[in-house]
Amino acid sequence: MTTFLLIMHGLFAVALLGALTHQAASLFPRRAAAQAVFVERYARVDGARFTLAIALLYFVVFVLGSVIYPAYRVDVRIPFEELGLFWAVGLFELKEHAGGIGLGILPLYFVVWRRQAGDLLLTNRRMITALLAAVVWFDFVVGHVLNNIRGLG
Amino acid sequence: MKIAWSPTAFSVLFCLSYLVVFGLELPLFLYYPVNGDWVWGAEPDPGKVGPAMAWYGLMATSALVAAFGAFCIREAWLVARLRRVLWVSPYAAVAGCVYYLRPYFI
Repeated sequence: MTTFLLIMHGLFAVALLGALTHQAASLFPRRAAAQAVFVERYARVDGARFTLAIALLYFVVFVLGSVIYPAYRVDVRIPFEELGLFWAVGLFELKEHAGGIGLGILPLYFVVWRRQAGDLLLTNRRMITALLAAVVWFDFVVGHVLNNIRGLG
Repeated sequence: MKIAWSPTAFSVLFCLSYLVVFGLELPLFLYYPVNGDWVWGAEPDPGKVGPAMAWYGLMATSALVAAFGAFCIREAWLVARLRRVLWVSPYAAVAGCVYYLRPYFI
């Protein structure tokens, strides 16, 4: 069961990563369509339309991660400590705390993406979205690295 | 009576309280994953088996503080005052966590 939940955690994380990266890219300045390279075409989306999907995906990924966390604490972290891999323990600690803070800023994330919020909040929108994207990317990579060292199940 | 709730206050307070709660180690409860036991407060119970997990309790404490503040602070009032720096508290919270966790990497 833990392995199934871990795989679902990873699959939903991939969807979240894609949506959030797309939305974050949409916040960067773009050139006219005729001059656009691939990255600019990738970024030419209405970022606001991703907001609800990203929040829901984040919540699902967070809940799945929270459910399998006890298995990590018993089956993975203890061997890490016995092997002296304290940097790996530290990376997971950072992953869990960053993930928790990410959940806490979801209400603010919604506020800064409200259309009527206007340009005065553009800096907030950019910074909050960039932080959420950084948290998701960091958590995703750390999860994979640690699972490669010693997986669950 | 309409109950007002400030999502901005919730997030800002969540980040700030998380910093404090994590730094002072004030989880609402501890969880013992080996037998699935819960213990109120931050004090480990020597009678329980296996390691204690504080993270669920840290989240709960921070969420409680943030939820209380979100009902007390008006959204418009807060946004008017912190409009330019709303993004600062989440960055401070993450930076604080990195600082607290530095012994793992030194």
